[in-house]
Amino acid sequence: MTFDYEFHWRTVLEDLPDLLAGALVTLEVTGLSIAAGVPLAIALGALLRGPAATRVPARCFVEAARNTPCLFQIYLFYYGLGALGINLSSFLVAVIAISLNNAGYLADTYRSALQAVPVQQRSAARSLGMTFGQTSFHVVLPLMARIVYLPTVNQMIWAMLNSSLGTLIGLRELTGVTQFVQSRSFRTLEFFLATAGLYYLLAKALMAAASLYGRRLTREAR
Amino acid sequence: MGRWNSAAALALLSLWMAPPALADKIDDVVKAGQVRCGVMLDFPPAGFRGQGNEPDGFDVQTCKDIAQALGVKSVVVETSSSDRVPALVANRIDVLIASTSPTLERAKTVAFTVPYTAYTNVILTRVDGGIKSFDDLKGRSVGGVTGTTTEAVMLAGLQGWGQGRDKYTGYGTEIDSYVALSQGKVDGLVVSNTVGSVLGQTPQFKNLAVIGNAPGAADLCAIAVNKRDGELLRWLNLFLWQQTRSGRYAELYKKYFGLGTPPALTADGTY
Amino acid sequence: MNFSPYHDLGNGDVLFLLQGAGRTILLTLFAGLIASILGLALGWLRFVSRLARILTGPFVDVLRSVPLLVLLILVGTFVGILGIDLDPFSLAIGVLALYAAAFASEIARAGFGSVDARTRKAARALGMGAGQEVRHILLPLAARVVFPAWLGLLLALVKDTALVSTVGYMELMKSSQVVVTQTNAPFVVFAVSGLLYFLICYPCSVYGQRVEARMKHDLAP
Repeated sequence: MTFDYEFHWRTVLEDLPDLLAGALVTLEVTGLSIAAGVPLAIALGALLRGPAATRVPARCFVEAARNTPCLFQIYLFYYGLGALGINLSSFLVAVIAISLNNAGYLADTYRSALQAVPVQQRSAARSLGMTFGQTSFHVVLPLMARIVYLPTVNQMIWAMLNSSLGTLIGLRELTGVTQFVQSRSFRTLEFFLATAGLYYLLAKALMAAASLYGRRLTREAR
Repeated sequence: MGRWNSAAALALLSLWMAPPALADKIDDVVKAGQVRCGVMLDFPPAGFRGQGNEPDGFDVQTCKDIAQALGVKSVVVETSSSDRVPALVANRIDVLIASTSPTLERAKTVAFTVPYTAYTNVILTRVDGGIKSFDDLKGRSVGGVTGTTTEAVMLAGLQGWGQGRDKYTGYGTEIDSYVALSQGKVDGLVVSNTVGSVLGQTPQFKNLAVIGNAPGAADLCAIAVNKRDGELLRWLNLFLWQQTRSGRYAELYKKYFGLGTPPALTADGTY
Repeated sequence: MNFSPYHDLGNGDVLFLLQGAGRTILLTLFAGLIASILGLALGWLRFVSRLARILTGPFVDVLRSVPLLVLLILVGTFVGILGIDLDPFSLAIGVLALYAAAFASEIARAGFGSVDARTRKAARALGMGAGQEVRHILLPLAARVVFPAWLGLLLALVKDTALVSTVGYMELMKSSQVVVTQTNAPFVVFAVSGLLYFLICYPCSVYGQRVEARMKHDLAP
């Protein structure tokens, strides 16, 4: 075994602004796909608790999302829809496909969270004179938040990792930018080491942000 | 005692760090009985998979000729355009025969032979796209393949029109970009003339057409090897010289690209 | 021209996709086996020793925060630079196994942690040696608890194999791309490969849910 390689770190430093711009796109896709994925997961959770007419289609969607690779889903939305004459941008496809993936993975969590808030608690809130909206926002959602908090944060990290697949349909997020800039000089090892480091920092930053938010959520629920 | 220990450790370390016995790459290849060529198999007709999914094409055939000349077996390793040089640096392949333009920037990382083929860059659009010239692409969605010289031509065009990259999509493989163009995700690509001539004739891509040359000079492509494989590089240069002199280059060019006389592998005013 | 890079979709292509699916299953089984063994060892170390937990922490942490795609490119390049000659299949299995091992070790650790310390003490009090106790009490009890999570890991692995074409191995995802290349019929091809993935994953997923439900039932007071 010999290690016969000279590292050229200066090349990476020169392209660091490009990499950071890519990291921003990664964050955008992650944020949007969670922002869209969570409401979808709540809706799916509600559908899954409903009668067969809503439960069966929702279950089909969830199983399809969970039992096929995310890359496959991205390809399907990009080239599959394209074959039907529907052409969406790489960014939009990445956001939509990853949102749906998030929703599929979170649906059952939110279903059990919906189940976990006893009907009595809801009627109690209503009998105290709260409206349906007030009950939802001040009673049901905070109680649910405690159950779904960890799975949702985990899914957010997955969404960030999955966003790297966008590069395969031409999205210039962190991995895509890295592919692009490394192809000019071919310092593959240096660039991808730097990118791995950036992903690690992004994951840590997302976790830190989530835990700040999480502390507030659990305080409200007390 | 401690000194002896550290001396022994140093000796061991230097043994480990020392380069292995100086067998060059040609020796390695002959000993292994095989030469591993990196080829883009999504770049017909230079590299593609035929009916039985067997690799075929101009680049694949060149690899087979190299193997024959070396008296070894040829192994074709598929490399996408952005994975071409990484595969070489990572030693997954011995030679890279993948329509690679020998830019000075790349030559800092890998070593290039003399040119082995030449392409002109043309503009590929949809028949119904309403694009008549390169400048018609101004303001339209355009695409390319990450890390290729055709991408560089397109990006230079965008810069010339004072446009940013927001209407540009860089794909991972050549074929992804053709499918994207054919579906209408982008309105134009810069591709090699050899690609364009075949694409327009196939029923699968009948809505695509070449509408003329892209700006810039012909693209001379070279075979690449690892920077430290100097012996192999010299051997390949001789091989390519023989290939042209014997008429094999013209034969393969006609067979795969169907374009008649092959372009000269020289540049005006120099060799 | 006596060759053709393109053709219409035919039975040969379906066969080609099926072969790709076979290779996907093969990859999953090999990588899953290695990941389970590695993960079990690592999880055990992390369970019994604080030092091991601190030392292996970064390994697990980093592997879980870097996309597999980036990891594949990095390891592929690194292994090559070290001059290790690995074929794409071994390389793909190596990276997948390493990646999954990080998750497997956490599953294993949770499994060991789930076994009541009093049960283990009771086993020792009955005269079992440390080895016997691990073999007959800790491992079987932990295995029962983590089985659904472990199956989930295997399922994730099936889906992760879709990325290994990055290092040159042709599994189901790459096979479908090749057929799309030749036929320009992405919708049909992706529908078929999606169905194949589903057929591989869904039965396992249903089985896992059954086991989990039964376990909840058994463990309920």
